[in-house]
Amino acid sequence: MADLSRFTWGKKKEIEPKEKDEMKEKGATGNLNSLLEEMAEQVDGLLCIAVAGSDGVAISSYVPPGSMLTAELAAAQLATIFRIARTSADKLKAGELEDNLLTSTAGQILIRPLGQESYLAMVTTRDAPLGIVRLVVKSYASKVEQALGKVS
Amino acid sequence: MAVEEDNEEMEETEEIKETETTEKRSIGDVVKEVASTTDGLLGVGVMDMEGVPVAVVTSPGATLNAELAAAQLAVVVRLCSLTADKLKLGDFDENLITTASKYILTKALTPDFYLAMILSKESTTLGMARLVAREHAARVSQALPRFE
Repeated sequence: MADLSRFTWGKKKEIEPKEKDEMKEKGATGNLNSLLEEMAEQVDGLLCIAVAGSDGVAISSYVPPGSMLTAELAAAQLATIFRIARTSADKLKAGELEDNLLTSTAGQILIRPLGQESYLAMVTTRDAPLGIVRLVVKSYASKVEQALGKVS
Repeated sequence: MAVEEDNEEMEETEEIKETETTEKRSIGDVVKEVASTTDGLLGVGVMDMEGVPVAVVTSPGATLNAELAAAQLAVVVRLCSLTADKLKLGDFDENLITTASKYILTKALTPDFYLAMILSKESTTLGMARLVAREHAARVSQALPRFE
């Protein structure tokens, strides 16, 4: 049910300025970045973590030192995979997309939707433990989505 | 004596023919065997990169459109190959789409063909789906027609 507490007798209740300032000062994007850093600490063989829109524009990303990936390229390229995975699930009447795992000879890419218009992706080397990768992405997805809600 | 020798030779050649036919099994037979030995399978097929099915088996209860699946998943495989290439992650191996009720797995066999499997999440696990695909990919690759 929609939260109608902000509307009383046709009068729109404003968001408290204090709350607005807090959000600005804390920086919701900063919160998002720190979440990605937390995720990175838990995975060996990490190459990139990206939160991006389905249009391929990176919202936040983490690339560890030594990785050959650029977050912008990864976000743009993985958005195409995210979109085609969602379309395929839809066309094959398989229900809602939970995640997409791409494996190549040198890497693994796990993409998880964050709502309808954005996604969380983790790129690792092929020898990174897949179980940990899936666990970390799954457990942080809702936190990242919450932080993302504050950014937009 | 000469007749006996002839008979023996005939039997030997028949045996050789039999072993040749068992080795050179058609792609359709191999796909059927994969379908009959995999738990939770809704559909399995070998498709070409143009999105045309080569050999497909769907389980009796499944309402899968093989033509649609082949066409749609060919786009997935092409995009995955392109992505692996652009991100310098080597050659594309496999892609697994997990949805609320199904696993949709695509695995590259050769530059021209890929293996697609759709499995029910109720009857199998992600680990089993990957293992089964890996096991069958080699057998299916061997049965693929080769034009030299």
